[in-house]
Amino acid sequence: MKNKPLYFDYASTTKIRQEVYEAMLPYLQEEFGNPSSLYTIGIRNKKIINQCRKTIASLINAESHEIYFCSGGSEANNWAIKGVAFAHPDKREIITTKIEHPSVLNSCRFLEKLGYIVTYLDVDAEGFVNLQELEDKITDNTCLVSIMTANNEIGTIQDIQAIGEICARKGVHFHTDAIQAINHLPIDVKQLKIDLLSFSAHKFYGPKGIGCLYISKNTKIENLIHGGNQEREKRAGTENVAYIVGMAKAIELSYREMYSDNVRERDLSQLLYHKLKDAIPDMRLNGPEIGNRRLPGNLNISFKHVDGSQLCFELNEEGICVSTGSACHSDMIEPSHVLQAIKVPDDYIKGTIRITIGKDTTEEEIDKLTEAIIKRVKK
Amino acid sequence: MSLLTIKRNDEVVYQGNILDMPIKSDWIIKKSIELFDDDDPCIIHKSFVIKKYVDEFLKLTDLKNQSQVKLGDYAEKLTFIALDLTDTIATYEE
Repeated sequence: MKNKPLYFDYASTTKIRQEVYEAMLPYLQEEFGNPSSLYTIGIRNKKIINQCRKTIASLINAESHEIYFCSGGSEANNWAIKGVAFAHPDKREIITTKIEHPSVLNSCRFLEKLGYIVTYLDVDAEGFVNLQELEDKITDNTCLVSIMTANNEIGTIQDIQAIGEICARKGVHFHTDAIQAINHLPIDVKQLKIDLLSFSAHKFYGPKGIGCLYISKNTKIENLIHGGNQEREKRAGTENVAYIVGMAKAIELSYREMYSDNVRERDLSQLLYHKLKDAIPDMRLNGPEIGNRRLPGNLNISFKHVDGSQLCFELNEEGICVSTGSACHSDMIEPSHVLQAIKVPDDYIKGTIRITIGKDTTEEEIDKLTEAIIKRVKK
Repeated sequence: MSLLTIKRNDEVVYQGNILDMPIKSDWIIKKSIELFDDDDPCIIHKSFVIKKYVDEFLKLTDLKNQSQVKLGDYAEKLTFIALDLTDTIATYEE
């Protein structure tokens, strides 16, 4: 049997938790009916999908007919951006930030090719958007503002309430990519004045390949996927019943355990940070300080004159999984766009790794990780 | 930077970052197929494969713990390196 890896990449993906797995199982075999079919095994599946929709809606204070299932976070982001743009042909401007996920940035770049004008807002050294700048950039031609709730790399939690209020006051649709945030922050779409919100189940111990886009009832949106009448004629394709059931179960459990998980993950990341900082004083924390403005469990750190990808490689040789701060761009490996946007200094940027802590992380694992990093960085 | 120097009779055959050591491209593809079942790897996967070869090289020669190593002694197992290793000596500095 293979050794269990020491996993510190929960922002990348999570394993399906047992309760979720068990909830999904019947829908992989016995309960296989097509939800669009008008016989008992199909009707039962239509019913369970609608129950899942209601569960999810109630958690984010939405109405059930505002919840649309899709294949994951990338599809949800693509749909929100392209769908709102195509539904408002008279308004050709979009505002986003330089630190969004590629599914947002590349959707915007695609729209630029079609003649849309996209403003990519700068962020400060901790990754925060300047709210005054956002307000100033909104014009009569702006159809959408898309700003992530929390950043996947550096954990910055934006002031979504303030952004929602600006957008509402200016009469502009507001989309937020909440893929990293949904299991850490209680989200009330009405209170936060969010028109569109994306999330994906595999970030909160649900299955990969299933996600959700909340679309407020007042938001006009064009379809991304055309075909049958599923999802109230807005998103075609036979529903992935087992995965929808898994996602609903996972988010329900995640909301129930959110507070205790957040406290625990924040404490563990504090512990890890201080152990590393004590041993390597010139280590740099990227993003906000550990606290309410940073995702619990997220630690994005840089070591001076260290090759972060080599460090990840060596940690992997010891069975430790962490993520690098690099990305692939046209046959080149470069520091990520997020690290560049927050202007991580040159002598640190290539020595970046992201550690993300989750439900199963233990203090003993933190000790092993700390020891392994210190051994390599101080050699 | 981890500096690898390979010399033959005082003539430098390779000097530079060990991760830039020349690896035969067909061996990169071979390892990529072994690891990822991918004969057209992206740059990130290529760079991972190169790290694997460098790791193999260091483990095989124990270069980190030796002042110098005769690479010719390992030539049969270092065929992935795109250099003629006959009569060469390697030194390594972290």
